[in-house]
Amino acid sequence: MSRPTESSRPSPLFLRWLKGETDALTPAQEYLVAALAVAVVTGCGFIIRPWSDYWAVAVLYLFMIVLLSLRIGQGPILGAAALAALTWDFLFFPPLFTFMLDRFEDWMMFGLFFAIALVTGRFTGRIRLAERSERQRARRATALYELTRTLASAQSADEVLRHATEQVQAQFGTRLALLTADPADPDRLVLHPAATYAISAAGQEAALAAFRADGGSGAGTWATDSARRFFPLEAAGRRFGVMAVETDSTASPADVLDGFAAQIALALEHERLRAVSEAARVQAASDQLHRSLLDSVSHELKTPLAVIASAAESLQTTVPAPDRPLVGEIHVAAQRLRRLVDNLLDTTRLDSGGLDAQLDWCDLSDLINAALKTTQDIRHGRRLHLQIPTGLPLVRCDFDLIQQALANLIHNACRHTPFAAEITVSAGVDEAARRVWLAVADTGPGLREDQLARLFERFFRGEPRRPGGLGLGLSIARGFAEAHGGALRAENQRGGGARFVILLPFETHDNVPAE
Amino acid sequence: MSEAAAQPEVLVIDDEEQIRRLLRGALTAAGYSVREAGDGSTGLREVAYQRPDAIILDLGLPDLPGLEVLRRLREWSQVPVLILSLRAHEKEKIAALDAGANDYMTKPFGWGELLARLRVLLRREPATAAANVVRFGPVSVDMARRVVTRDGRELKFTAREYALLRLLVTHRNKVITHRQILRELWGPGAEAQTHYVRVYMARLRQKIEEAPNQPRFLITESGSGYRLDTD
Repeated sequence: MSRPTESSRPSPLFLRWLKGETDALTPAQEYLVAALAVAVVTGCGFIIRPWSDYWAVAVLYLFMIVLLSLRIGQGPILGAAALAALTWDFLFFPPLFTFMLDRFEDWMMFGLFFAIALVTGRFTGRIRLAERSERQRARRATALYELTRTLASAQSADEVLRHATEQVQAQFGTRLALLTADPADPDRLVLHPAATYAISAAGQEAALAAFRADGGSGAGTWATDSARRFFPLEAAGRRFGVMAVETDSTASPADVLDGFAAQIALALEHERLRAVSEAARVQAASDQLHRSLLDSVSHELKTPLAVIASAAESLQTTVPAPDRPLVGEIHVAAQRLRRLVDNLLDTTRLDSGGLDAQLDWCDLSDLINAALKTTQDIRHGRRLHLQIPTGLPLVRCDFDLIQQALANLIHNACRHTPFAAEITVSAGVDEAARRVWLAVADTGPGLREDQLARLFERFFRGEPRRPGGLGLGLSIARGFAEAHGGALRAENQRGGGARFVILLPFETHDNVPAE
Repeated sequence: MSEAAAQPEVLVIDDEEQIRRLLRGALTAAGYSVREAGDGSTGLREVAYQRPDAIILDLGLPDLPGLEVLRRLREWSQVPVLILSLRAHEKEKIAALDAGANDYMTKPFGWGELLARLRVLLRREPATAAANVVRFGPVSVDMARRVVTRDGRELKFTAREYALLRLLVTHRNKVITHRQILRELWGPGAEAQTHYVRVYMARLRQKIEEAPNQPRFLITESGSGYRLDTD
């Protein structure tokens, strides 16, 4: 059994009333209490009269007035003082049962009685007011604290809204409805079902109008009509919705309700941030899974291909000469598969957003040489021109990606032009447009109008279809160029043949320190 | 037995058995004695007990990342390491070279190239390399006298250009990363300034190469670094 606590011990109603722990009285009740008190003290007066002077009874009356003034207003006090003075005069003051006062000191006594009653009444009344407003402030603070505490423990936006509605109703008896912006359509408001205030359709319209209105009016109240007041749910510059309060049901001033609205909005903002970071965490975990899956698929596909290619190369020197072309076929086939796997993996990387261009200063001729080395086999025996001016500036790009984009273009040119066609790789800087370009041109048949439009689509293969290739090379090259904030263009040259241009942003690096 | 002892010993650390078998066959045929390890920790143990002359290391190992194996190894051993990886990304290549790898090749590999690079790694540098005159093509670099000639004509270099050339010559046929060059020539604070290296390399090529846009000797190792090819 738990021991009774201090506050649960019952105390007499009279004392509790004096301390202000009971409900406040209406003015009529206050007058009634004043009259009752006078009656009680008069009774006491008769009891002590045989042993004392009539002056002593006056002191009893004064004591009563001081006590009364702790709890009741100035009017009833004044009434009590008048009633007490008259009763005293009539019942205790000689000559008894008359209102006559002869002597100067009796007039003085009567006058002072009023003065003391008035002064104490005023004085204690003021203390009482201060006490009451202090009590009210404390209650509001507790309510706000309770609300904050409850909202902080909410696990979702829905819980925030439900707790808020319940708390405000419980603490202040204020009926309210919370309307929040529809996540699907931020220009609509959704009424939360926990609302304790059955807001009408017209009221909801008014709430929406208030919600759409620009900017709060400072103090927080947006709009008021006869039946309701609206408060913005706004935190960190974000508007979450509207709190509609039924005016009849609340005694709370606007600033308190505004404080509630701010707390609710903060809780909603907190909830939003939590949801955002949770989504980011899930996304990161999924990206991580995707990446490791891609890594292991890539590993499992490439390892056997590497074994086949390396073994074939090793055989090249050991098998008898007549069989060597066969080994060469194995080698070419392995290479073709490797290209295919690379292209598919690159496409997946582009799709999953796992492409992260590692920008560094690169030498254009280094880039071109690397692309030429990559395409050595397919270019075998073909005529290739290089037009690279000396003294080209460095380009800030991802060496791997641009090298591969260029290699894809060269590969493409070799595949789609007759063997006799010439291929020209060129590079340059367009200072005016702040762009660097890398171009692969050929003297082949060029591109048809309908091809130009669909060229960079995935799995698009030119007509007539040549065997081999999935039609990914150009879309990958474009993806890589775009990852740099650049572009890939295709055009027909005036003299015939197609020309593919990689455009990259041109940046200048800091000066290299002089020696 | 004495003949066997003269065979350089190569440790292959790779989790793919097929790759190990391939390497064992080809390396044995080329006159190396081969040991194998299927994962990183076994590999590290093998290095500690067997002291191989060179290591061929895969980056994708089941227990430890290859880079971690390399870092632990470099804490106590300077044995030459050739990375043989499926991953062709420059970032990985640079990370491996900066962590102390001596060379980097991607699978599928060409046998000729693999054996050539392994030979370079095993070549014992003469202690007085600085006193040597190194020749490649028409160029000769006299490290003692600080004189560089091409076709017999003397070439002029600034102090830093010469420092870069000397760095490449002393590490000839091996990859030097941008970071290594930057640290050596400009100090540790300049490691991110890759454009310094590019600019200086372009100047060196202008002076040394016949066709600076298609260099024969001062070879770019993709995005990762440079190699002076004297073979």
